[in-house]
Amino acid sequence: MRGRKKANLLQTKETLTAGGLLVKLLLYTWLVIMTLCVLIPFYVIFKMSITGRVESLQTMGFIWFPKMGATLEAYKTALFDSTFDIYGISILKSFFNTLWQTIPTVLIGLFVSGMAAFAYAKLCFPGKGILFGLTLMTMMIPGAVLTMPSYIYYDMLGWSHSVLPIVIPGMFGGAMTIFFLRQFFEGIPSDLLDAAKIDGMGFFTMYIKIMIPLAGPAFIAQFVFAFIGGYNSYMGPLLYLNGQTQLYPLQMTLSLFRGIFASDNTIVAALTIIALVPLLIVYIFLQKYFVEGVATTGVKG
Amino acid sequence: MGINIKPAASKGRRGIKGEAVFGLCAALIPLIGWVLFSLAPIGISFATMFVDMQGYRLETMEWNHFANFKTVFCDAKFWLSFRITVLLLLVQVVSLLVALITSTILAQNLKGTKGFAALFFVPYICSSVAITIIWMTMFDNNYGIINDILVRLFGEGGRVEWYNRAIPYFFMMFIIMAWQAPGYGIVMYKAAFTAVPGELYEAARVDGANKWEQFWHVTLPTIRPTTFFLVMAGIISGMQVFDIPMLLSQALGNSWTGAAGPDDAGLTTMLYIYNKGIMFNNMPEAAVMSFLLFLIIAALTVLNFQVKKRAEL
Repeated sequence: MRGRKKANLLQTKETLTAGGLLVKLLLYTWLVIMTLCVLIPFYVIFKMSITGRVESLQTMGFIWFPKMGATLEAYKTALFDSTFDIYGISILKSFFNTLWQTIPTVLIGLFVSGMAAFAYAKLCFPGKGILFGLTLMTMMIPGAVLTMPSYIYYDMLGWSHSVLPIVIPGMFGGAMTIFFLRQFFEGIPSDLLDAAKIDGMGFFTMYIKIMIPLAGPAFIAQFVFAFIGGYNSYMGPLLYLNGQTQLYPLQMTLSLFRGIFASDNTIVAALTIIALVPLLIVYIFLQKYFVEGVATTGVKG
Repeated sequence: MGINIKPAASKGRRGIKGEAVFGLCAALIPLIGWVLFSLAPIGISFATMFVDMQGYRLETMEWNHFANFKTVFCDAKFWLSFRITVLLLLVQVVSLLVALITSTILAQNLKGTKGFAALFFVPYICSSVAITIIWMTMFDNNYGIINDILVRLFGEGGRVEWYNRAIPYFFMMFIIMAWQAPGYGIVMYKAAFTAVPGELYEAARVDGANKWEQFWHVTLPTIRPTTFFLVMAGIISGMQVFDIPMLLSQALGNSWTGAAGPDDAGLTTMLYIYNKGIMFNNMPEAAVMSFLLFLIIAALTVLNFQVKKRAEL
C-alpha cells in the first residue's frame, strides 16, 4: 500500500519549484474552502445555542459572537425544563427511545444476516445458487418506493400505530449486509471449519464460536452503519408513530420541538446540538468503522 | 435412519444432512422476511392500484376501470413533482464532482489529509432533521448569515427571500442537500484511488504524460467502476428524496394543505406520494405513483447500464 500511495500526481521533487508551490497553494485553498463550508453551519448553530434569550430577541441581523456573553441557559432548558412534560417527551427520553428502537433490531438483524452469509460462503445446501440470486434481487427494489405499499399492509396487520413496523422487519437481516459479510467469510480458510466438524461441533456453534470472532471488524463496521441509519431515521417514525409523542425517537422529537419552540431559536439550537453530539462522539472513536461500513454497504436510506 | 447403518457412516450422513438443514434455514430467514415485509405489501398495493377504496379499508375495494391511472396521468402536480425531483438529481452531479475533486486532492499526500478526510465525512452522518434546522437558521430572511453576507456585498437589494419565493426556496433545498451529500463519494473515491496501481503512473510518466494527462488517461479510467456505482446510487437515492423537502415543507409551507413551500417549489415525488397516501388517505393513487416512480427508477438504471456498456466499448 505504501509503495502505491507514493505514485500520486504531485511529485515531491516538483513541490520545490515555484509552479509546484502554486499548485500546492491551490489545492490547499480548495481544502480550506471545503473546511469552512463544513464548519460554518455547525458554528452558526452552536453560536445560537449559547446566545442568551434576551439577546436573541433583541438583535436584528446576524452576528458572529453573542455580545452579551455566552450562556448555557438554553441547554439547561432543553435538557431539564419541565415545560416539555406536557408533550409527553423530552430530548433525553427520546434518546432512550432511539436506543431501544434501534439497537435490538440492528443486533438481531446482523446476527441473522451473518448466519445467512456463513451459509452462502461456507456450506453446501440445496438451492444455494437460486436463493442467493433471490437475495441479490431483493436489493433491486428501491426502499422508499415501498413506503406506501408497506403502510397499507401494516395497517391491515393492525401495526400502523405502533413501533412494530420500525422494529420487526429489520430483524430478518438485509441483503446488502449478507452480501458484504459473505465476501468477508469467503476469505476465512475452511480448514478451521473442517477441524471443528471433525470435533463434532454443530454449525450454529461454529458460526458463533469461529465465524463471528474472526469477522469482528466486519461486524462492527456493519453495526455502526446500521446504527447511524437508525439514529438518523425520520421517515419510518413519521409514518408509524406520528402523534404518539411518548414513543418519539430523537429525530422526531427534534422535529416536533422545532415547531413548538419556533419563537425561541436558542432552545432549538441547543436541542439540535444535543441531538448531534452523541453520534459525533461515536464517530470520533469509531471513525475507521464508520468509513468502512459506509464504503461497503452502499446507499444510505 | 436405519438401525443397521454403521455409527461412523450415520454420523457422516447426519453431518451432511445437518449442513443442508442449517444452511437452508440460515439462508431462508432473510428471504422469509423479504416475502413478509416487501413482497406481500407490493402484492396488496398492486391490487389497490386498480380499485376505489375508502381510507385504508381493503374490504371497500371496488374495481374502477383504471380510473386511478387516468387521474395520476392527468395530475399536473404529479408531473411537477417529477420535474422537481429530476432537477434535484443535479445535486448528485454536483456532489459527485465535489467528491472527485476533493478526493483527488486528498490523494496527493498533503499534510493534514487525514484530518480533512475525517471532517468532510461529518455532514454525511448528520441527520436530515438537524441539518435542515441548521441551514434554516442560516437562510433566515432577517437573521441568517447568508442574507447578512449578501447584504454586505450587494446592499439591501442583495437580500433574498429564501423562505417565501419559489426559485430561492428550490435553491435553498438544493444547497442543503448538496452540502450533505459529498462525504459518501469522497470515501468511495478515496478507496478507489488507493487501488490504482502505481506502475500505471510510472508508465505514463515514461511516455511523457504531464499531470493532467495522467489524471485524464490513468486515474479516471481506473476509477470508472466507482463513478458508475456512485451515479447509480445517486440516481436511486436522488429519485426517492424525501426527508429534507418534507422537513422544509413542514417548517415553511402550509403542511396541512400539502403545500411544499412557495408554489410547491419543494414538492418532490416522494413528498407528493406521502401527502396523497397519508395526509389525504388516497392510497390507490399513492400506490399508482409509487409504481410509476419505481418504473422510472428502473428505466434510469437500465439507461445507466447502457451508457456504461457504450463507454467500455
